[in-house]
Amino acid sequence: MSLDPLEQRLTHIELETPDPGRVSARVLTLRPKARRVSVFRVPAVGLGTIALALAVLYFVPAAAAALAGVPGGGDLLREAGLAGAAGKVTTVGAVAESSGYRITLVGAYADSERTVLLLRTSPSATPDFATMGLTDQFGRSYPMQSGSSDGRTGDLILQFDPLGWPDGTTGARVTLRLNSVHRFAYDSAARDWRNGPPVAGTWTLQASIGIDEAVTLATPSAGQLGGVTCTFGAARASAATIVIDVYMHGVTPDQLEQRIPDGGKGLPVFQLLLIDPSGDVVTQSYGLSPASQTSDGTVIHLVGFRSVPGNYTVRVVYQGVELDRVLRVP
Amino acid sequence: MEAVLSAGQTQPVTLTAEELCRRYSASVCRFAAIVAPNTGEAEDLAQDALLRAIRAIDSYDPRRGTPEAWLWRIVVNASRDAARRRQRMGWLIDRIGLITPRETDSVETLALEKLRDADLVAHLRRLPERDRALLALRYGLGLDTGEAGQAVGLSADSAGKAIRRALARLRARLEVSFREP
Repeated sequence: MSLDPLEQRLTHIELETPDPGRVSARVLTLRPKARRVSVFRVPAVGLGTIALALAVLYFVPAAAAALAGVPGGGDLLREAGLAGAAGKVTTVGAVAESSGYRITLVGAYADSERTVLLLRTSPSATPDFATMGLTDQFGRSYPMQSGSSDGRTGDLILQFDPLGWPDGTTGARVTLRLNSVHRFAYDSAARDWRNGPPVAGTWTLQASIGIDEAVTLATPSAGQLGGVTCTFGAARASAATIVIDVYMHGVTPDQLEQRIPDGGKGLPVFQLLLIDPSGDVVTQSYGLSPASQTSDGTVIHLVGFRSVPGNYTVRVVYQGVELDRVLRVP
Repeated sequence: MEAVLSAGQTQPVTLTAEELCRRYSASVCRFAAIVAPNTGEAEDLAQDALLRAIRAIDSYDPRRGTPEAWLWRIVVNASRDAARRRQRMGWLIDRIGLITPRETDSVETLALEKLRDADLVAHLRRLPERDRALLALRYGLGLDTGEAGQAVGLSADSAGKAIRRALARLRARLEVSFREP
């Protein structure tokens, strides 16, 4: 059958299509858990139930007692961006002592974006990050994303990459190993808190962490920032974390990292903010790297803290133009 | 989560989610690029369609048709739902209902010669949702009228007629744009 000119053009049209590889990767990440139909369905369901119960007993400790009830625990939760997840933070209480330093793993939390350990050190100390490691029951290591410490209280918050499969669905038994710490003390001459020399020792702390499941949020509508189209990917929220992919079409990561001259360091040409219902900025991170570049522009993964349910604002600023979109977070 | 696919194939093939993505993600993305109003939404549609297919993979029955027919029904339904969502949100402001379909080959030929692919896609994206889906299935994915019809719930004859009407509407749009630059 011959095609007329319009049909021929439609058949051979050059399309700007989404990247199948990226779409596939995201779909495979979002797909539901594996489910098999078996002729042994009834026995399998029974065995599965028993296995699940054992897994829950193994991985998930007694429901997280309110860490906020622990003296100073509320501050620790707020500092770690876990104020909205107080009921989902696993209270651990594991203690390790070595070389005169006592380290307590107070609590732990994990969702699809981050794994957070809440520690107390006495005397106040910070770990030697180069020799520190977090592993799960399969021996996998998790890189540290960030950390903060309070020299006055000895509070230490360590945030690591999210747990890998299948920990991300079942929970995990993790082990934190420290081989060296630094005394963290106030230097009156420098008028600042400083790390002292390393102190060798062995501190091994274990925790079983349940996973806080995220819910999918309505995707905000697209918008224009000058001549640039901004669209949004799927947004999700756990009790403590809100994530959303922001697509800036037609601009590269390098262009987004430029600064507007202001006589000093310059102002960033691009900013991404997550603002909570009370107006506080709760952006935790967003990254721009060569890996952010897509065939159509740049995708930026925004991570922010969820403290309360309500309307959160995603604010995209580019070249002085602002675009606000509301995320309704349950 | 997997399905055994045998229709139209000499050897039964077990289709896993990974295999489904590997085989069909490029076609799904191409379909989405034609029917969605912009690239961002095309990506959302492609993702939604593939995710639906993966979730429904256990429900595929080879006795009821080819895996492609099963998949395209899911993809078309995903695009319909996306279009309804857009309508609810007031995104669709452009309709073609007032334009009388007319075929003017000479004008069309002239218009086509001057038209860039991006402009043709822009006109295509302003067609009604079902027209876009049919043209995407027929020309974007290379399905015959029977296969395209199966995906949208039409017989081969009806699909053929509907595709011709969609082409006529697209021609009318091109003609208008050519005469009123």
